[in-house]
Amino acid sequence: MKNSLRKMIARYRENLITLALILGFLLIWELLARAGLVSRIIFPAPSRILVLFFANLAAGKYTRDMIVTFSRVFSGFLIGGGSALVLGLIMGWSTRIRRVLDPIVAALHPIPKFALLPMVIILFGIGESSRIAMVSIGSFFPMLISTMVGVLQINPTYYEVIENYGASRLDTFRKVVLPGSLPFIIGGMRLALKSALTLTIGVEMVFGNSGLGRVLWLSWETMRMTDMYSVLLIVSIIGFGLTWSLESLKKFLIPWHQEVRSAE
Amino acid sequence: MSIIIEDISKVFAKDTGREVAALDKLSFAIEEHEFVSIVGPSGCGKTTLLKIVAGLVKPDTGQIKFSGGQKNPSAVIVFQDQGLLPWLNVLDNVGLGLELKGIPKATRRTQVLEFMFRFRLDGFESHFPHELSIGMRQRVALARAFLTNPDIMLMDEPFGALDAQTRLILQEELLHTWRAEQNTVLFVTHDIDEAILLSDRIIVLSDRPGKLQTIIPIPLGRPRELTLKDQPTFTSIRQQIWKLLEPEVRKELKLT
Ligand SMILES: Nc1ncnc2c1ncn2[C@@H]1O[C@H](COP(=O)(O)OP(=O)(O)OP(=O)(O)O)[C@@H](O)[C@H]1O
Ligand SMILES: [Mg+2]
Repeated sequence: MKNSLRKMIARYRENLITLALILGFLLIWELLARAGLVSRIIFPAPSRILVLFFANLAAGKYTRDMIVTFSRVFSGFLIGGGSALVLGLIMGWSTRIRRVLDPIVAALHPIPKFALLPMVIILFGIGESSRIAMVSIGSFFPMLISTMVGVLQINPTYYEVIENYGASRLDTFRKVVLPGSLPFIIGGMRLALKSALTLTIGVEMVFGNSGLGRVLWLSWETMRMTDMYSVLLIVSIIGFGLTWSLESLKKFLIPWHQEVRSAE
Repeated sequence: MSIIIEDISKVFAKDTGREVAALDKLSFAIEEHEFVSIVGPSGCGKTTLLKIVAGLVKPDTGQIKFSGGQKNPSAVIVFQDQGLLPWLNVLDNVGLGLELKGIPKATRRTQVLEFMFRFRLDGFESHFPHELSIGMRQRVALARAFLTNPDIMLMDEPFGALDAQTRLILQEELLHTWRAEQNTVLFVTHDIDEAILLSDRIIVLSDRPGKLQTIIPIPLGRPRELTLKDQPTFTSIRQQIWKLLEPEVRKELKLT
């Protein structure tokens, strides 16, 4: 019994240290706030934030904004990430198309995407489409570049093998290009979702009529700090959830991958 | 299927602008159902030659002719580094050739399982290549190639990474299959004994760019026993080949 407990501790040692660090930080914050050593308006005690967070969540205070934000993240991710996936596969596979488009991508990619907001508003107006366009642009580039790199890193021998057995272009795509780049595509999805979430919150803070970004900004303007911390908590939980689901997807979609990497 | 290799040269242009001549005006012929081995120093263009015969690489000069003027006979390479697709399990890797031929899954499965059994891979159907030993991977690559029963079998050091015992068993298996199926085999190896034991003739290539040095016929009857290795004919051929090869290998290693 004692032995197995020790084993458990040994196995999860790093996780336990992480947890201890977080709890320690919150404890100090809690003590400082209770003692009145930091402003209770700007840094309310974590226990108070948590109580209000769960009360508000149960009362459905953030539900509508959560749904709005979530659907923006996903629509942008699907539109931007989806088109980037197709283009990335094509650019990775065809040297000629890559030579044509690579300089354009290289020029556009480093632009901070938020700087495009005024231009997007000019093109799409101040409605929902502008917001989705911004999120799509944000998802586009990480997905495009990861997918393209994913195709390019495929061992050229695999193309020879499949050609040797008389594969058609479609066979080559199905049997080599797509599965070979899948680990990078999933990595790209992760980056694209993160970027989509960032841009959604940012755009909502600027437009300010719906979504978690609006709640965040409004709570700052009206000095309702518990709301602000609650939204931060929700956003980080969403981000964590997305990463976690992709990690699970990975084990399911590319069971062959982990070991290959460690063998190299 | 007989093969005529005629005046084949190949120069690779690297991105850096440097050029590497891999093969230089190589000509020789292989008879129908013949088992021919190729030996030569590392980098002399053996792999390149197999890829040219398979139509995967275009030669700069010369051409490959097949008997009856056939354009694209089935020629399957057993790749030097196995060439297994990491994302397919053993069952799908072995069945790859049949699948691409459009043979339905159910029919394919029985054939694949039979070949997996022959190459002692049974029980590993759902394993991925990275979960196998190197020797097992080579057996998967061999099973995959034999399953499609090609006219021409192009083997690039297929036993290179095997331990001595497994190698012997697979050499026997190879000879057995070759006699039964009557394919034409072009077999690259670094192992002179292996070349003598398996082949009808041995092609000795020079250091890069690969040129034809000599063709050595092997006057040994078949089936061949392992004990042949101590016979005077065998040992004298071994010495003859090594005398030809040694200066070339030294050149390649820059020892002279
Ligand atoms: N795709 C390629 N691009 C550029 N150079 C190549 C390519 N393939 C082969 N070469 C070069 O051609 C030469 C011959 O290569 P090849 O692989 O045919 O040699 P090999 O005889 O099979 O060697 P080994 O015995 O080591 O396998 C080498 O110098 C190699 O660097
Ligand atoms: Mg080689």
